[in-house]
Amino acid sequence: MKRLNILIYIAESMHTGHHDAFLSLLQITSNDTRIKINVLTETTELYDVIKASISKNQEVKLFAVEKLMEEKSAAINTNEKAITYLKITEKFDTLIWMGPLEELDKLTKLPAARVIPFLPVESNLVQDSLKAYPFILTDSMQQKENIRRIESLQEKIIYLPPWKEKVSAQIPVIVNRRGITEVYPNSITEADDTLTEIMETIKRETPSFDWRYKDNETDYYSLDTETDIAVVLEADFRSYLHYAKAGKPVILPENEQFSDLLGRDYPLFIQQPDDLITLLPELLANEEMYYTAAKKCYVLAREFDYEKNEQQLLDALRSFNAKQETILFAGHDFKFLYPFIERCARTGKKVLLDNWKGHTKHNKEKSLKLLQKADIIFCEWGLGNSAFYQNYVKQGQKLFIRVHRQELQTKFLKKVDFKKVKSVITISPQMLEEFHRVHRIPRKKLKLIPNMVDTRAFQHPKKEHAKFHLGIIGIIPKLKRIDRAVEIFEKLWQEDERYELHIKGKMPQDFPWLQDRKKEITYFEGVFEKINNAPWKENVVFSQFGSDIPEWLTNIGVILSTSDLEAFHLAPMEGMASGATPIVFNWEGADLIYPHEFIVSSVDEAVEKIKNLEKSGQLSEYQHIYERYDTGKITTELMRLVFD
Amino acid sequence: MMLFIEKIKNKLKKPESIHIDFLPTKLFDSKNWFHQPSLINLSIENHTIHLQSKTTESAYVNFWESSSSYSRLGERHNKIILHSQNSIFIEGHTTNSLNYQIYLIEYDEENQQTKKHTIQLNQLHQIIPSPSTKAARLAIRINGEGEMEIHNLFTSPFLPVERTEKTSIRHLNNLKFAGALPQSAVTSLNAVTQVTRLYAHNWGKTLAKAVPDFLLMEAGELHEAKWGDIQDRTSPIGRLILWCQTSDIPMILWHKQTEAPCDKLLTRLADFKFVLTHDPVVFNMYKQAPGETPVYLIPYTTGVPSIDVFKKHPSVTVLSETTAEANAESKTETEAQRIQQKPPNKQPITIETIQAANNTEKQIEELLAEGHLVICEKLALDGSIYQSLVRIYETESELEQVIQAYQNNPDQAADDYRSISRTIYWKHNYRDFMHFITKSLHIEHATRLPSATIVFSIRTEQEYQNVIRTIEKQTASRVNWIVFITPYPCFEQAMNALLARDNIQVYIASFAAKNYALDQLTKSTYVGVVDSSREYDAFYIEDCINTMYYFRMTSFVDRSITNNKPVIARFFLTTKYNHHSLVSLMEAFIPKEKVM
Repeated sequence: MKRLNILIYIAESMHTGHHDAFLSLLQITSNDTRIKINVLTETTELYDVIKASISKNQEVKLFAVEKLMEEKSAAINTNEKAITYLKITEKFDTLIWMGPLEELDKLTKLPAARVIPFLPVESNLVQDSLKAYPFILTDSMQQKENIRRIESLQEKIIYLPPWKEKVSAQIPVIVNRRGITEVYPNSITEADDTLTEIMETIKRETPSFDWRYKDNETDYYSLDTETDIAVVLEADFRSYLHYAKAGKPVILPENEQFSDLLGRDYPLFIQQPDDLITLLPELLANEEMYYTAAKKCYVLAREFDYEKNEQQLLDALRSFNAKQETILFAGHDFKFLYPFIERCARTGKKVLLDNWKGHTKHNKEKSLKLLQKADIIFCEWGLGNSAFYQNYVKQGQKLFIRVHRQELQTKFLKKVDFKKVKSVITISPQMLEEFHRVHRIPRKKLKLIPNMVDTRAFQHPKKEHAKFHLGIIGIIPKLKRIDRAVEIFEKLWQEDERYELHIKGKMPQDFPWLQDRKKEITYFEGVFEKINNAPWKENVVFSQFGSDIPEWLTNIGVILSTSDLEAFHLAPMEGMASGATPIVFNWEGADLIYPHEFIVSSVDEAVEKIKNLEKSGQLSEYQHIYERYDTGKITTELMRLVFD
Repeated sequence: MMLFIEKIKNKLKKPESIHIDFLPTKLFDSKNWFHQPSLINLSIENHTIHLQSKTTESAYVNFWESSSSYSRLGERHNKIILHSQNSIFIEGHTTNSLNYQIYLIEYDEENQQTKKHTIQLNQLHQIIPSPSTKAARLAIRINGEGEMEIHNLFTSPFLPVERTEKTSIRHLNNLKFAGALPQSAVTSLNAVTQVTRLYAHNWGKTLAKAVPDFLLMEAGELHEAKWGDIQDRTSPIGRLILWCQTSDIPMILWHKQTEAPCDKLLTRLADFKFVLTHDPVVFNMYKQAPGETPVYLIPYTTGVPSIDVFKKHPSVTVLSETTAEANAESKTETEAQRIQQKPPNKQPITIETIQAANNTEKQIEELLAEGHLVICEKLALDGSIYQSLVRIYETESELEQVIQAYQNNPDQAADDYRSISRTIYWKHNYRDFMHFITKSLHIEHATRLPSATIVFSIRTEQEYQNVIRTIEKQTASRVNWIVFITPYPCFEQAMNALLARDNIQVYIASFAAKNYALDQLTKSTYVGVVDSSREYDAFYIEDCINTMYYFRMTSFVDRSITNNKPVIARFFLTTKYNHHSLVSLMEAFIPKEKVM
């Protein structure tokens, strides 16, 4: 992750009228750790003012021309020289110029392509001189509209919101229920008797109409306090936005600012308060006028949305630092994720791997170094890796955690502050619900992107007699219930000796940790003793753990999932993709993934289903099910989630 | 000189009595007071009695009879007749150095004193006469230098009732109030609260059973003779006002009906806490009346149509100025047209023409309450209020077009009817009316506007689309949406889209049913379980919630969408069902074939 290094120059004259805009710029840029911020002021006095307004957690390097002159060299006595000096010492990439435009023109040593001028409403629009700059900043919506009307500049203008206003992207429902009008400002204290009389006159002539001054409900009639119409007599944007973002039409005094923004044909401009006597009843009676005005008000309000403007500004700044995105995968086991990792690499993302040696074991130094380079951190499994990275992730970096099922029993996710996590990816519907229930992961953070199957890899012809071959992949630990598989096979063999049970995967002795679990060992010894002593023992075929599953499945007609618990269980899905019939015990959530025809609740039911396979539907009917989990589709969804 | 002659005349008159009810009017007449001018100055101006002692000795002022000494009662015995129980309140003040006693003394037939009451200024006194008492006298004794003023005197034939002062009530259901009201108002008010209707002949017994928090007097009721003259303290209305004043029960004058004894009401405004009216002319009239009784201009209030007819195709009633015979013909013709032109697969609609009454507005209000969609000629209506409560027409051909349109598309009539109901909910409802009264009386009730949680169950992409489109256009605020998904092909995309939404909670249906109780998912006032087989219009949820809230219902099934298909929408009060498991609710509220 390369950090974009910016220098913000702020002149005293500009600071006076645009302090809020400057602070907003600092706030937005310092929230993104991929941006390094330097600020240069003209005077030591302004330096001190700005220093006082920078919060502790904002990483900002502050300079003043006067201070540089004192501390470094008397020769650094002009803005240009100070900027040149900082260009050499601080190596900034981009200059944001909050000073007089004519002075900016004198900075000939800096290419215009790396400069963003700030253009307040009082600045004149000199179109030709602005064309050279990639972006233009302003804290005036009016100025933004003016610039947007100039074709050559319309794509360059970025609004710098001076305050945090949230305006939903979804247009609110526009409906005039009671014609309740709220008048702002509150004139009660100002004793504006004339205005009160005007409103009372309207009320007398339109009895179902009611009104109030803002924050005053003394004689207010309706139980529902929602305002339907606003009268904002002081052309104040904050008050305007309060109503406009809620989809309410706002009656405003006609002035240049609002005329520019809402258009001269906006129907709710008034010249004087007396105009309300005719306008308000008309607005109450005319639904179309109400809707048109409310919609116009909302559309303008949306332009003020802080998040939208913040994003636009950051996108503009990041375009100076266009660079390959780096994704860091961290975890102890990537076997379910390799297709996605490969796809990231294949599509030009820079991929870093932090291989953990277990749930908590890792090289902390190495992890932190890798973190410095990453734009995106993808924790496979919500274990120690997730708890670690959520501690160190910086603003501007995106942290994803993909969980399976094991994490429901561990406590690592309890330590995670999910505010720092972009999304938690769950691999099945059941797991999505369980992770919310058990770890209280906010539902808004949860995503459902199922496990993936390379369906094409399994599409090979079946061998002869495959339909008599039951297969099971993975029998450790006990909850995989190999005993059920053996019992099913035994019952089938008793009716037809052509049946075989194929077991693929590691054996108990391959897992050192299992040796300490006496109950599990006793269980497995019992199962294997039964197999060894059975007349059908020759029909039980063991295959080693390996990547040859597609080939192994060519000899399998029925794939078993006999587990007590599973999150997704890839094996039956892989079996389906190979043309085998899945027989899935009813572990929680199985019905949310597998067709109910193949779900059983007992050994006898499984035996009956297998015996009657000929009568059941063709497997091809369920093609859409395994295709849903195809690697291509799932990795596309992951790519969209992580990189869009 | 004239005053002296008047007093001589009074002395020469035969002894007579005065009823205590008339004491307030007779008290402020100087002819009725007797005193020794050398000891006391007495003057009555601007409805105020002014007394000034000229001596440090005790001196008396007698009301109604001239005896300066009680021991000489036998000479003259003009007396005050009491009720079997009485309240008296004298408002006034004295300067500090003046001592005073106001006596009300009871006598028997033999003019022997049976009881003596000392009345303090500005205190309500209860007078229950001794069984042998026949009459009483009123006298004031003052001594010391100083002055005394009496501004007002209140008497009533009642003792104050015991009343608990309420500054807040939990719900409009717990509010107790009574009123002299028309039946339509009683019916409409009972939809939102409990009102006791008072009748002129037995209001006393009614109020004795339940003391109200306040009393609502509809001005039009006084137009009829049964309540008597409001200026007469002994009339039923006069007594009712006294009863309220005795117990300090606020009385509100509500001027709704056009016909009301305005002239008399204007003189008695002081008896009321405040006045409510929707009529700007009447508002101005009351505003200009002397006194300080507040007058509020409020929206016109009418009852919301009954729930039984909500959303069904309403009966359409045309109000016509023509004769009954012509109506009959017209009706026959209209029905014949309807039968002929009834479109296939449509529910029939009843359109009836009736004679417009003299009081069209009242007629409309009654028809609305009975669930009729009213069509009325614009000219027949005064003012604009009713124009939004009926479907208006200006010409006969326009009327025919409206009727034709309803016959061809009965759903249009249902939509118009809903729209009118909504207008009433929004602008003319009795709940807001009650809210305004309780607020004005500083009885803040804690009823909040209801919130709702609407549950959809989806299992196909089409149902998902229906739900999203329905949610996005709903006008209702204070609504949370819960979606229960049963997986279907590619449901994960829908799931992720819904998970990202702020206002929607999405759950895997089977998991939620097994793991959550209703109260874990919602704290809303109401829960609605709405079938997702179709898309609903923008006002659907708001109309349903408003209906439940307004009529204080605990559950409600929308029958309009059950026709011909297993589609259903049920709403219920959350607290009535939150002990049920979610799965049992789902089974109860979603048709069997759709149960997860």
